[in-house]
Amino acid sequence: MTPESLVAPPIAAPPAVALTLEGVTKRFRNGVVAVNDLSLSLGTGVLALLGPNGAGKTTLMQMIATITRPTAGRIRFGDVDIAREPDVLRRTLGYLPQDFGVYDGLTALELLTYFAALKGIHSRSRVHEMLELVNLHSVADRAVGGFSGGMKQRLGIAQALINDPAVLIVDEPTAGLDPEERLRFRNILSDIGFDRLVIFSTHIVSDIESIATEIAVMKSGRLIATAAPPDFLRAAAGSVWEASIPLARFEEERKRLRISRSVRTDDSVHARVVHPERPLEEATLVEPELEDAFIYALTFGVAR
Amino acid sequence: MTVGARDTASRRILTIAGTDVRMRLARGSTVVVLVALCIFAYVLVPDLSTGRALMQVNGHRALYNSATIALATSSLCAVMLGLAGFYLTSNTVRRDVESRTGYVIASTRVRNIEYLTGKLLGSAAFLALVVVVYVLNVMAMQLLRGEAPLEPLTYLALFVAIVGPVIIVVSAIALMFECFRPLSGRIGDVLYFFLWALLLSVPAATATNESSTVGSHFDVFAMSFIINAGNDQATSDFHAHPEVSIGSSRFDPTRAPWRFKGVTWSAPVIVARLTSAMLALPALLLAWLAFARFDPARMNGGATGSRASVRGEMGAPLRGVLPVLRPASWGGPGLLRATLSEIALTLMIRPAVVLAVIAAAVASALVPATALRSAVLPIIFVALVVTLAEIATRDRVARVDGIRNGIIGVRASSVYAKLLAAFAIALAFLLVPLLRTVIARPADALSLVIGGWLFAAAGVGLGMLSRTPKLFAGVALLFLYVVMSSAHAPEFDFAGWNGAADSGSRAAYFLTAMLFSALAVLGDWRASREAH
Repeated sequence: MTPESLVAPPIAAPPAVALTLEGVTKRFRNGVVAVNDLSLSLGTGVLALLGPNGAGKTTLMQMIATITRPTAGRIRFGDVDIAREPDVLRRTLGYLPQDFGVYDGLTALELLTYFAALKGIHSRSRVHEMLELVNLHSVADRAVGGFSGGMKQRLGIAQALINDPAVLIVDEPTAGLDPEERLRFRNILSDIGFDRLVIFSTHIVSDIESIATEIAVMKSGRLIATAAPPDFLRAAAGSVWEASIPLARFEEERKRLRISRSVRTDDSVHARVVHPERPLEEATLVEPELEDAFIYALTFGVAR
Repeated sequence: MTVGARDTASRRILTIAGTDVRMRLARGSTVVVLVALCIFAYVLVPDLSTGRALMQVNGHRALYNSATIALATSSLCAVMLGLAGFYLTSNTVRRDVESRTGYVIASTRVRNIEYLTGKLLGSAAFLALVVVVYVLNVMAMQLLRGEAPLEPLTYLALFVAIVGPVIIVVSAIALMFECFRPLSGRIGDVLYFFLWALLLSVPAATATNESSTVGSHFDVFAMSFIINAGNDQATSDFHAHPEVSIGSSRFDPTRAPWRFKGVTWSAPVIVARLTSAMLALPALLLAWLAFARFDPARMNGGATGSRASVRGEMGAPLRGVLPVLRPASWGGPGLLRATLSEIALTLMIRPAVVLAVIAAAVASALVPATALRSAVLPIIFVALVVTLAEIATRDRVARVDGIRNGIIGVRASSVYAKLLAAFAIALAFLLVPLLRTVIARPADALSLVIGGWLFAAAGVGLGMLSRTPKLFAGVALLFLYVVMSSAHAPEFDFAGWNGAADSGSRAAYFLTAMLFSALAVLGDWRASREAH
């Protein structure tokens, strides 16, 4: 089996195209090409952006969020080029940047009211509603300087949602959240994605398993695969193996193979290997999980 | 989909301004400033029984009425606020960059000009609030020490006319410096000091008796206005060229007090003050042109920005040449290791410090003793302000404070290491001046060491307390200006370079340095408590 044969069936056209990226490229002044000739059509739903560090996810999201302009290509929202008329998108955009910080001296209520006002929302009840949504209503009058990382992140999520956006862009939103908060946030994104467009990036594959309607994998600034999660899994089917590797051989095999998971036992390592062909004599074929499919896409590629 | 109703530009501007003021009021450094103002007002209007007065004309002390006190205190306020105001307000855009809230703002419909106007008004409102506290303190001093009834309207008119333009122009210049990348760091802080001195000295030197000249329209600090205000009446009262002195100084009690009747307001005077305030507009325009709206491509040139690359290129050969820049190879006790690593970090982040130390040593060795004291040492202390200002705050800005504090032994010794590293760097700058001074004037050499320790401790102490390098930069530069303007006063000869320091002033500065050190430890303790 060759990588070319692992072609996922084309995904159905999105119900209503909200965003279209055409040959989008971002080249910085120092010559670094963060995003390279990327094209994508997005309708409603939840798009998960996956990729290793430096893949260009954040730069792509910043371009869509109108913070920085593409050096080539176009991003259209409906029929509007957002580089020329950014306000058309900004009016209905929610954005949570990576490592979102806060103004230490303000209370949660004051900070959220501030962002609400900048977005044209002057309803106090809406601010309180958002604080309740992210479970910060009981500490609304506390200075955010004393908040934990997770609490600050939840405040960031609240500000992104406060204008009830049609397009929500969230960069590494679950970083710093505990499992319960992550679950809560995943549910929020899932609900929003029902009739709107949500774009979010993450390193945590389990975050996207239950909510992503589409996954885009980036590597070195390029989009190497886009597909719905079942298609991703289908593409990796027949390429995920499990084997018990003697401890003495494990280091050597690890250099040669893409191992997605490993559990050590007394004298061997039970490994999960992603490979288009049987990698070891003793390997048995298993059903792929999304983590395997992601590694497969990064290593062997998946055509759109 | 939109929620809410009216969303006007003015509303957005007021929101930005209001939030800016609220944030500033919540900071520890604001409390320091307000307490300092209370002390300042108390010292500024001296008790006449001490033999000192606030204002004198031809050796006659001015009677303590509202006109005198308002003119003198507003003029001193304009000078001080002109400098300190810049450092108090020049972090408003940077805060949004560092917290990344700027990205959120950039993704909204807030226009660049709205954002900048909001920030300008926020800074101006904050400075106005500081001035209001100052005026209230001064008025309280008049009630305490005055010789005539309090006239609040006299205060209002003079402060609005003299300090008003300063508030708005300084806020605009601070914003402009923040928006221009090359001026947004320590270099800009020092450049502003020279700009301030220029704006102050040129109108003062060119002041004429004319109520309105072309120069008076650019006289932000109202120097010509203040000089003329005092001179007009003094000339007619004394029938001679008047010598007006503002600021606490000894007076001759045998001479009758002089009553200042107040400023004569005329249309040209008012227009001149209004036009000088309008200088804020070109500054705002330049800020608007340079503002990058948090676009990472325009702010940094990418993930590895051009400025970082320049620093890296400068640092690379130095790292190869100087073994001191390899902290991993050091052993020794924890405090020594932590101190050396702080010094190494300073040199690696700012390799130009090495060149500055060498330049200071060469210049100090070559110039005559008088030039060493009058020119080289002041420049060295200005360089120390730039170098030491960020030692206390850089870990927090780079978000590595948590990592550093997690290393065994570093948490406990962190603040002491910073104090010692700052002192060691100060001594490196002062080494050659010290060697030259210790032979000829050993007592002044001791003052120089104390001066170095004072700057090191103040840099770390004020940085730890305020969590911004700006407070130290502003206070230190203002202090240097006062020192340079008071050549014969032992109380201002902190480093012995004026040859006026005595054992009392040395002891006082040593105690002040220790106080700043204690402040550093206190700030570190507070940060540690918050982290847990």
